[in-house]
Amino acid sequence: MMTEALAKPTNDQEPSDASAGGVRSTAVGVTGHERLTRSLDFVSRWAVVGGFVLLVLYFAIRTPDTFLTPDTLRTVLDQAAVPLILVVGLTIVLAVGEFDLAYTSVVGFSGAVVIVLMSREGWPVPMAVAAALAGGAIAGLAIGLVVSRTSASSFIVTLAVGSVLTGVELSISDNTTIYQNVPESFRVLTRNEILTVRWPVWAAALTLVVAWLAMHRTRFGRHVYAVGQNRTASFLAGVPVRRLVVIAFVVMSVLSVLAALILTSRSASYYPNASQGLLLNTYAAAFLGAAASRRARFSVLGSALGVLWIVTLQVGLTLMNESTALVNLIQGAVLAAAVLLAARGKRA
Amino acid sequence: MSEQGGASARHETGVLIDEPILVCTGVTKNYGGIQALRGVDLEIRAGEVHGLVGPNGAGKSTLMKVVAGAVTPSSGTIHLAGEVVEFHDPRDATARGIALVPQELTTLPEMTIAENITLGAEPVRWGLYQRAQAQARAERALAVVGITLDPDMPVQRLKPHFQRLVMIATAFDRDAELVILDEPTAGLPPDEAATVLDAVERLRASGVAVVYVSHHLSEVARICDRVTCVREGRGGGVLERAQVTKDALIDLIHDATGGPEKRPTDDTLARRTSAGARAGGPGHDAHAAVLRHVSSADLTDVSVSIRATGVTGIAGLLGSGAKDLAGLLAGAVDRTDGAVLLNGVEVTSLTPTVALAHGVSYLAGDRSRSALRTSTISENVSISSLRAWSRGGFIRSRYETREVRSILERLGVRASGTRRIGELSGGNQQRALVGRCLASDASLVILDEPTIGVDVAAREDLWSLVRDIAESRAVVVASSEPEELVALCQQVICVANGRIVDVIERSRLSVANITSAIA
Repeated sequence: MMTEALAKPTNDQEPSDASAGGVRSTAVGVTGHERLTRSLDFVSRWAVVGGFVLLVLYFAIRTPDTFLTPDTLRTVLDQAAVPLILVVGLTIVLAVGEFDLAYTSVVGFSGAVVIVLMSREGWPVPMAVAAALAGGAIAGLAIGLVVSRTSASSFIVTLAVGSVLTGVELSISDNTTIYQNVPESFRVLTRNEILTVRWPVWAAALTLVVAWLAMHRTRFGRHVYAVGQNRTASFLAGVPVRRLVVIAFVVMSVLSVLAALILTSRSASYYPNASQGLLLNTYAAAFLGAAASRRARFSVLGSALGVLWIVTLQVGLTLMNESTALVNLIQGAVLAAAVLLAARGKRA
Repeated sequence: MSEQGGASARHETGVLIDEPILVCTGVTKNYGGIQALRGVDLEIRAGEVHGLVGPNGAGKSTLMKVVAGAVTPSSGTIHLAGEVVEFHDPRDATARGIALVPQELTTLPEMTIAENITLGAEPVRWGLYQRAQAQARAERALAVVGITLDPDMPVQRLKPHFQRLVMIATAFDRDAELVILDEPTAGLPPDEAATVLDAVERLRASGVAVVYVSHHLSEVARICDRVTCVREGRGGGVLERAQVTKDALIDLIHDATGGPEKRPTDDTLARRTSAGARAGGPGHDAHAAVLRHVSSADLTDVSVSIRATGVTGIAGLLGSGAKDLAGLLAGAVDRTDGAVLLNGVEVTSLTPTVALAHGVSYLAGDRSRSALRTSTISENVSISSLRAWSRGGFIRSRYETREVRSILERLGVRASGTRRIGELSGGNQQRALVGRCLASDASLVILDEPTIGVDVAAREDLWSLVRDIAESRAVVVASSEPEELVALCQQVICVANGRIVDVIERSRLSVANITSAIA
């Protein structure tokens, strides 16, 4: 109807933001404040990318024989698979304006479920996997419903649910390491290769592509970003806000199960509290990604860059035989810096 | 108050109470390219209640923010008690005895009355809060506004008009000599508003000068000693004591340039809109929406029908329920009772999402509730149309680009859709957001304050676009500017105190009729 009512455009206008952080000083009505925001955008984005380049250069110089080799690349990719899958879910949750502190508990919980069902109860692999996926989905649904239907903060809700899930995890696994009777067909899942790259890396890549399409090419993604920015305005514009929040938490939890499957298959075992370390580096990656993105948005590709950043850092420091203490310290510092840079998005 | 001669005569006699305490001369304020104030003069005399009236967007709030130090003027001078002052932030103004009581309730609900009244200026000895002293101060301040309340009561237990009085008492507690009240009775029923008005008179009796900003002209006529009108960022005239009547105020606001003989501009407006104004038309009987005995927080038992084509206006002062009426149709406001029918179908659980699915799009009358500030213009325009503009969930991006571009073109927004909407001036943002509603294929478009912040020339364009749209769909416009409703509407629903007080049809639609129906 609109097309008839509206006159056809007479002049073409090219996108003004084609270049990274491009500043168009001639733009009508651009305020000084806006110019400052754009400059910050520019600085922040290149700080992340430049930092990554410096990081690679540093490790290449310090460990010339080992760092710049195909083996290192494969290690980085292999290690990046699980955080990549998690960070995709986290990106959606953050983009919709929520927090999730439960997903590492979902990883632990579903890892325990799948291994206990297979090794102690003798379930076939597909059924055990399906049970873990169902468990994760229910956890996500529960979180999503509570967060979207009440005014409870997702921060606290997920903290609580995470604690409950960890409790369940430790009770079904008796808080012990389980490595007996893990079926070979489950273990090969992470050893199979396509084009010299292992399945988990492909799984991560596929997740990434699907999520990128969903976030940047579909109505769903548009709605997610709208809700994250201004919930009231989105609601009044007819966006189904609650449904989106629920979907975000369900996706996060299902992807956490996928991550758990990769972790347990790779080690062919379950051990308690194995997943806690993933919380910090995925958050660091997501915020690095936001710092590197235009308008400081949480974006799938930005988060992926963030994961590569963090994993490269970890792998490099390991090659240099640095202590875990230093690795933790540096990761924390990177997260802090990333949060500061990403906070510029709040200015506009 | 009804003494002959007015204040200027009294002033000449040298009565001390008429000494000017605050004089603003040629105050201007530019925001980017927008001139909010174009040289306003204002004189407030000691111990008077000074009304400040004028249409929305005229610059009243900006002027008051300048006086209260919240906004630095671009040019002009402010004299306080005879000396030139420059306020850099609100603390400077507070230190000089100027207190602004904003329109919103800014009390802290969980704190007690005494804690609220002494907040930021707590009585302290050796670093310890002196509770008894705070209570005494609170009681004294409350006595000035004419209420007796337990100072230990949490403010959240008070009704809104008492919270308002607590805010006024706070101003008194800070030894304010000039208190600015911005719409202090907005949304209050008459008896509660009367309590606030009493407080204002007591404040005057205790020697405090009051600036009373309001759209409630009968209140202004009742309590104000003198009135200044602001129109389009300029001073639009001053009424002295004896002249302050409701009729004189209506004339002043809608026709600051002269007397009643100039008023029939309504006819001109009517002629200009005749194209879109053929009342009725083909779908005269069909209704886009029907409300049956609907109540909400601000409305009581309202029944109304919206025609399937043409523009229906909603007029009402702030807090009258006019906004609620617009929001109810779109599910943006919670309904406590009654039924809503959209295109003949009763919709029980109505949310904006459901309304959109039924062909109702809604633009909230406040950009903080409508704009996605850090999203692009294009994303802002298309958010309500994505269902129609995507296939299998995937957005048809070329189609989207083309649609958005043609809408922006039509609305006269000369900016690429890829820019952040927050980069645009307020008026341009507003136009793009109106574009959001026009973009959707909605059969009922509800616009709350569609031209807020839009400059005069662009407003005409927007109006003509709205009229075009209304040829084939129903449009509802809620506006606090009667001119806008006269320019646009076939009928105007007038709301006051939560009820529909009049439905003015085209034949007798005029600014004066609307203003007197809702005031």
